[in-house]
Amino acid sequence: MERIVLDFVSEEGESSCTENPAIKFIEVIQKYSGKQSVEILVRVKERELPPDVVSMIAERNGFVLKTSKRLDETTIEMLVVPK
Amino acid sequence: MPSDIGFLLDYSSLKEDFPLLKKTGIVYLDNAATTQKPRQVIDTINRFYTELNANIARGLYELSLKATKLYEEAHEKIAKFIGSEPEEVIFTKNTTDSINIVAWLFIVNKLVSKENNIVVTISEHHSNLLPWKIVADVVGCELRIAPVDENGFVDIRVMGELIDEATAVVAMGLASNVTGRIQDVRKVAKIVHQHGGYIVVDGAQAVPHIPINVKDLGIDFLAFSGHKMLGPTGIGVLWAKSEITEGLKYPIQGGGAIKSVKVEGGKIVVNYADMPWRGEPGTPHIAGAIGLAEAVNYLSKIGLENIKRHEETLTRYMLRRLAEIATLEGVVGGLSAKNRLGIVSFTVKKYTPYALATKLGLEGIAVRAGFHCAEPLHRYLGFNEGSVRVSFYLYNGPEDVDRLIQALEEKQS
Repeated sequence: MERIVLDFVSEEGESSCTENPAIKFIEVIQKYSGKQSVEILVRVKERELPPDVVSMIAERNGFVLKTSKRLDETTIEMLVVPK
Repeated sequence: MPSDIGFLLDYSSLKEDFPLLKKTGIVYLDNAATTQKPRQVIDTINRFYTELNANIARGLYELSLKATKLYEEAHEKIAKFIGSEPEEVIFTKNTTDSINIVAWLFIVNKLVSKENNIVVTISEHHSNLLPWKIVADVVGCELRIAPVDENGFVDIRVMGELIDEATAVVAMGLASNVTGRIQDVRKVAKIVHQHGGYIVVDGAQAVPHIPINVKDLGIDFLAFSGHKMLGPTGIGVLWAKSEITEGLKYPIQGGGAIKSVKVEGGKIVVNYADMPWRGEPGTPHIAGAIGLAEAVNYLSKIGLENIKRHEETLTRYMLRRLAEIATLEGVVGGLSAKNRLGIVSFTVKKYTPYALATKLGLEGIAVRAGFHCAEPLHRYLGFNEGSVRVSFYLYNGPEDVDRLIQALEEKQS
């Protein structure tokens, strides 16, 4: 299984229109939509891409939110796998 | 939904005119970005390309003559819509294009020098801010920025202190695309004229939603976009007062804008055409202009005063419902409905604006997130992550507000 890591936490700088986590996540998941051999690990500030939003986006692209782990007070790690 | 919340148009019937809304069932609340198109406009554009397409002006065959007539009539209809003369209506690409043209008009005609200053407000859309920064950079003059109060209103007293004898131009929006606040442009126009300067008004948000009369406002230039008022994209308007543009060199040059060009003694001698043709070099967006004229027909039949009242009702209702949301963090420009277009930008505690707008989008509710091309205003008012913007038009109803509020409440639980 190929793992794509989207780490929005370690990156410096502010979110912009094009580099926003929600937009980037949609862009990536759509790229791999329908593929059974890819899982996506997302590390992000919860307010920027909450689990319920990730779950909805995943569902619509043939994936499912498998695990959700809090890294600290504001940060969350989520694993999205094929349905 | 309460039974009587105030005046409303028969928006359900109006919605029937909009094929996209009917087909998708989307709750479309992104009208400050662009509006949906009624079939009347779509049919007009379709008819032009299928039955009337030809270039305008010098074609002496029937199609070209018909296209020319429709294009000229488009100028007349837009002029009537804003209380001006047809020769003062110049078709452009959009509001941004219109403002940039005026900005370069000031440079090309030396209407501004390093001894002058330019006054803008902190609430401007980037399209009415950056062109003036370029002018200030090119000529080396001062760019003054007027503040707004916590509700998003420009303080006329402070504005009056910033404007002086050296002010070449004041550039401001008639209404903010973030707070929806309608500014007292008429008063500012009086002040700037007392000092011998000009006033350029960004009407992108106001013109589609409230009655406008350029003579009554007492302004010099007005810019607005067709696509924000049911018209097609790629067509905009620059209204320029004829007393000012008379004799000025237009910053964009080309065919169609001249009566004759001769080379005499090794020099190019140009006899320019009259306005508006002098301001529209090259083949214009003919179908766009005709489509926009049809959009103006549509709006005029409903009546801008009725549209204004309809949106005021929706805005009051939206603000009231929004205030009930437990985790509402803030509303840009506050919760007052006074002098406000149908625009409400807000934030909630649990989600960033992008995250919230993404989820709303997945639920079939179209809103906009970010700084809405007005980053200085957001930061000035303390909204450093931007906001989610809801904006209404004539086809929206209270149930659209209810859907949005319901979605927000679900998200906060």
